[in-house]
Amino acid sequence: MARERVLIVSAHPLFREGIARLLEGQAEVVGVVSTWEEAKAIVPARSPQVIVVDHADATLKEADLAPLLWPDIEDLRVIYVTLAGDKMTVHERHQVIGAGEADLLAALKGQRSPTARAQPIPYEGRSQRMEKSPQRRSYTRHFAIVSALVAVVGVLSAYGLIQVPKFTRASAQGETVDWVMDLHFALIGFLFALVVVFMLYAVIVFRRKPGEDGDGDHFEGNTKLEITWTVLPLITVLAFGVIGTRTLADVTKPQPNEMVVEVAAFSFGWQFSYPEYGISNVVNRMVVPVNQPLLLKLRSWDNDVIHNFYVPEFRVKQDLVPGLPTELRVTPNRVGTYKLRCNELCGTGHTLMLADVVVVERAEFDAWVKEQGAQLTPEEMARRGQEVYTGSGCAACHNLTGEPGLPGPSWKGLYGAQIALADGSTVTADEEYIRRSILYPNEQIHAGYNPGIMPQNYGDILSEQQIAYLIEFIKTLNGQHTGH
Amino acid sequence: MSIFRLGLVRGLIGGLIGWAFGFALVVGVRLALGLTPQWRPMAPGLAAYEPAVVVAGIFFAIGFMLGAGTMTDWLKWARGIPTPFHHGPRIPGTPEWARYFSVDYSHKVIGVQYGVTGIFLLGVGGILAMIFRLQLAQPELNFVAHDVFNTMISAHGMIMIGSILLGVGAMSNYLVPLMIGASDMAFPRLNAFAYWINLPGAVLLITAMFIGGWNTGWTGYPPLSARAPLGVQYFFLGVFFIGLSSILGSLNIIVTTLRMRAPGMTLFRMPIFVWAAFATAIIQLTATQLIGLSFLMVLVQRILGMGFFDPRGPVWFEVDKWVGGGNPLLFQHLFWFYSHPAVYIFVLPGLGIISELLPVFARKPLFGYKWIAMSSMAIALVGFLVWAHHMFVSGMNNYLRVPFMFSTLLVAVPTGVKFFSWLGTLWGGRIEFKTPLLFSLSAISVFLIGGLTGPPLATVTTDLNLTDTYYVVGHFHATMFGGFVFPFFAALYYWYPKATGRMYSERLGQLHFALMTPAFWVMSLGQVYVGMHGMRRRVATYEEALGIGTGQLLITIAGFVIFISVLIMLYNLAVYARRAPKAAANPWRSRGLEWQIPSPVPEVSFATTPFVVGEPYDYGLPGSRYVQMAPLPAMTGGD
Repeated sequence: MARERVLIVSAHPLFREGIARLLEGQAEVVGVVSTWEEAKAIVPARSPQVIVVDHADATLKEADLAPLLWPDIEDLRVIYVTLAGDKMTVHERHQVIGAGEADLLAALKGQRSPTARAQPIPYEGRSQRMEKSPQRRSYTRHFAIVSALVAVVGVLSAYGLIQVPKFTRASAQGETVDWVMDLHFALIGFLFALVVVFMLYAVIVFRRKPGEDGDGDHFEGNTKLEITWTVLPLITVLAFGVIGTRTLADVTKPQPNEMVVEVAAFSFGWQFSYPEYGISNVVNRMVVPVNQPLLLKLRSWDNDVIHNFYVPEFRVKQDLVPGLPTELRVTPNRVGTYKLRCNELCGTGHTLMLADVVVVERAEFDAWVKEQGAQLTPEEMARRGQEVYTGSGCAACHNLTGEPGLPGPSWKGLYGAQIALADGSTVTADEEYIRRSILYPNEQIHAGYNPGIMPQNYGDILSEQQIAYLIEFIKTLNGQHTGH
Repeated sequence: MSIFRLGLVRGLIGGLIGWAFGFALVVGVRLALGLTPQWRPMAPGLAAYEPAVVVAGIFFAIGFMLGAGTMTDWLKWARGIPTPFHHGPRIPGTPEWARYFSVDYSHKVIGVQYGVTGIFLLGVGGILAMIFRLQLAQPELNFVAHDVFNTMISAHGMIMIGSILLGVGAMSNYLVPLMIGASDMAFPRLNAFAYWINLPGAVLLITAMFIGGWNTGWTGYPPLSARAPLGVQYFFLGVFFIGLSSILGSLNIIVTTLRMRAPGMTLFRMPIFVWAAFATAIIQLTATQLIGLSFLMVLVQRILGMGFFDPRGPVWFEVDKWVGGGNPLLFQHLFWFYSHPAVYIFVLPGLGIISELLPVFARKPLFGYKWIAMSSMAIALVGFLVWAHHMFVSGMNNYLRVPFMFSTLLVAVPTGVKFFSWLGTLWGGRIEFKTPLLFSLSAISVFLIGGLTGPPLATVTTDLNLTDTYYVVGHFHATMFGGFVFPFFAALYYWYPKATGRMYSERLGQLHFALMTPAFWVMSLGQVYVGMHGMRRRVATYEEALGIGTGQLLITIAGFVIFISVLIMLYNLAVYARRAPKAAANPWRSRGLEWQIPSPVPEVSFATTPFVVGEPYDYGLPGSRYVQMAPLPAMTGGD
């Protein structure tokens, strides 16, 4: 077997001569140089197979690249040798492969793996790691201070968050929701303190002081810590998941003696029906007794859009979806008047899609029920008609002033008038005409107005009762009654 | 040089020609079939021609891309004409500035194009926000009509999302090849196409505001979006094209990252930002189709009557027999399957920037490098399993709420790993308070607000109260600002000397920081507070009785402070720094590959092959190196 062709590189003459003498007879020393620059200059001409490099000579690390620089030199390898005291350490690709002359000779002759060239580029960074960085400080005192600060700030911020005044609460379900929220607040307060206090402490204590130019302490991580702060949060969120599931079951659980209220939403208003009391389609006003569990049966019309039932004081909400009946359970437990607010963007009128939710004592509720069934005076019917007018979207297209400009004809002076139709005929605006115009708006088109503008679903939205109220209201616009 | 040589101008001309062609095509077909030219004669203006307007919008984009020249090379290939890749301007002789207004294949030019377009959209979205925040500053102000208000919030939402996607594109396009030692992206022409398709997308999105607007919010839920004004169609198309950019761009990032790393750069020796960009690209490539699909389905529901999301089923005009079969909830599932992971598209690169900058300014290794890298992948994975938490009150089955609550809460775990690892990185450092570091610290504090307000939304019980209120607005603005805006600004300051060779004003940068950070805290916490006190999301006004007027006023003032502080940044980067002193080649003493080459980066980024010989973040380890440049051939002493 041919002898290896060896190039020796070291700034130190004793190293060069010592290694050269050691290899005498064992290998063919094709060059002995003191710098990498010199080595680079002679490598192509002498084509060594092994470059032996003095590892103590830090400037020579470029030697790692030798196999890449001269890929045409067969089997070019780099072996580092460290001489310290009377000991010798031999490395190849930064792996210690031996500690003695015999190891160096073995390394020179060592069978090369055929895949050696595909090995990763020599790995420089970690090979020089010191067991303990000399500039590493002790953190025990810092950890003690910061832990104390986290504890204090954590308790204070958790307490502070829970103490922030909450919005008025008016339902039994709301108590559960707020309890879970307080639990969250406690966790948020603690975690906020943990991160913010740690961060502020670190940036203040470990800031660069004027004139300092050095680096920070060298540590790359801590697997135990990483596992800890993966597992503890995992347990915490799983616990919150369990709490969330149980409380969700609580707030959606059927209650004994539920009272059904059917809630229908349309763009842009609300209707409430009480099937157990035979009351239907009360517009934009829901009256319910206090401490009475309610089952709200929610729906939006098939040709309408998604709305959302939300009374902030009740703390629970639910979408009303066309074609998909939904339910919401709530037990109001505080007397008062609240606002139902549509909470799913539904178009131009979304912001003002509000309804009154009136929570009253049972006796007051019974009185209200009785009143709903009573015979109404024309004045009362007209007054309710006006509520329908403002609450069911009529006002968007029909004004009460007689001025033109809106998409639909004005209602002022409408009742009893002779109406010119688009097909050239005329018709008297009597009760039947108004009723049919509401139910079938494209049947008879008022001259000067476009068909297809008015929604064709008022037959669904309005009860017969409400249409009667509207007609009474329109009558008042001719001055037949008091009012307009 | 004539402006008609600029790709941008040619694109716009091509787009207008395409628009006219598309419009004429549909009207012509209608006339040939003996129909009226209008589709809905009673509707006002362009809305009467909705199908023609939609087809015109599609041809606008095609015309734009052809006109700008993004497809010139591909068309040549189709005809068998080779177009070898070369560095430098695509059309030889183009002046340097004109390259930025024309199709160019250099990832550095494309990165800057992404960034500038992103900042432009950030400005448009910001101005919209300033207008509607004025309306909300006090109760019962009504100077903006409610339907205009709805259009503005919808446009604000989607334009900002576009802006963020472009910002993400800017960072990953500019940085990934430089950080991994690649000469360019794997597919430079596709890269240019992916950038340019954003422009017709953005034009359509902005045009949508002026052709009737759309009152649906950025989420565009049907049935509302199925009957919204005409503008919603250009909103859909605009999002579709911007989404296409995401898909093509991410493909490039994935291939470049996997195939073009410098010798010696194993996956775990990649800069941490590259991990983040890689995880982001996986989400973009896998999820973006779903938003394009869901919007496309509403688009055809409108003009072809295919009632995918209408409980009445297919509805043809003037036919009142309804057959059923459509479902509004289907849209929400499709939509959120993208739009939740999208949040991680927005924040993962930003979190990567934080992880990238902290070690440089703390002069310490990144604490738990592998854990941070894997946490990005974990977030990308878990992010796919949580979409229905947006639908807890949608009418979705009650039992489906529980698994999505658990999967959503799980996101907290890898996110927590990032926070704790950042603290570990700062601990024991020698922290230098330069602007990029300050913005990274702001980002951590703001993302913390976003993160901690999350679990109450993930927990169904509390979500019943909080969802769709201003609390959510506070939560996701904190997430977006902490996860994207603050880190993006940090990145702008940090790599500005790399890209331009000039140094910005540190004082102005710190002023920007000092204004924006506390203002954002006030804004965000204010939003959370009013949301818990009856303020709904997406309402044009609110009544005095809610008692949140003061909170709202503070939010508005804080919003304006943020806006002004961003103007200061723009002044700093665009005006001040142009006459500033030249920056040092490596002003941050970074170990990063991109800092071992001259600034601004030469046309050919790496004169010789860089070899990775160590760890990226071994600050504080004497004598260690991350990268080693192969010597120039002349220096090897060979012949």
